[in-house]
Amino acid sequence: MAEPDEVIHQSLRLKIMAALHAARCGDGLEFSRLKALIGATDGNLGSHLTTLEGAGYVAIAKDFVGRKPRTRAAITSTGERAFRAHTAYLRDIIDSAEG
Amino acid sequence: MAISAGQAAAALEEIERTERRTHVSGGYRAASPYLILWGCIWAVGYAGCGFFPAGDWGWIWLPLIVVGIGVSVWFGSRATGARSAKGAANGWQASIMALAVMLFIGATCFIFRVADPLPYLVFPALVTGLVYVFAGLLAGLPRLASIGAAVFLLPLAGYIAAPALTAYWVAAAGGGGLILGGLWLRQV
Repeated sequence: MAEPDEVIHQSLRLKIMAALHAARCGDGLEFSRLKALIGATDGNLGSHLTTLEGAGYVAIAKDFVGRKPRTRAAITSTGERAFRAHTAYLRDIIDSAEG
Repeated sequence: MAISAGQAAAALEEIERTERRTHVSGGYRAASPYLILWGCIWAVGYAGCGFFPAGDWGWIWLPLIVVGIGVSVWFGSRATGARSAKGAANGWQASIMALAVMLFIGATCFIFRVADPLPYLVFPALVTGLVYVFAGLLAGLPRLASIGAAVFLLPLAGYIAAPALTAYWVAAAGGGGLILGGLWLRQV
């Protein structure tokens, strides 16, 4: 059986990865929208995104819409692979338990 | 790190919930500008029907429909990156759906040879509302279905309660309903 991904498995990071994985065909998700989707606070989301970015799972892009700053997060190809591997690992655990 | 089967199942459920929420939110955001656009067109068109005689209604609607289709296609083309093909498809899809609904309404009125102009004002609202209800239910977007129900019921209620004001009522309730619905979808 494969190993769990400790970076992804943390509850909020799992939700972040799930949301970004679901939105992978677009340009990623804006910070405020991601925050609403997973029910996180600004500080919490920022710190977990930094962890995921450090692992190479998420890419953060900052730009301006007019004069308003915008932060977007998108899953990377490494992140996609890691997320799929982790969900496969979770399914393996359930399958093994059901035996 | 050891993960139990229960924890794994809970994690997978959380993933599924978050992915579903993200898809639904994306669907609402994609639909929102189209609802606002067609709500504006609806409001202007029906308000015009209230001001001008029935013989002029075609001339009111023709430029509005052309503008609506043009702007819908432009909305779709604004999508960037990997979304561009999907966005363009959405723009054309919305325009083709709007045209199909209009053709259906026109053909139905032609077949039944309606002489009274009032049904021409209410029937499009009923069909449009029904389309939104179906689209919302099929796509798993309950807010869109609610908007459709409102667009169906409010103009009908106005038609029954105050037939003389039908055009203005349909402009306010149908057009306003679509605009408010579009804004409501953006909140998700």
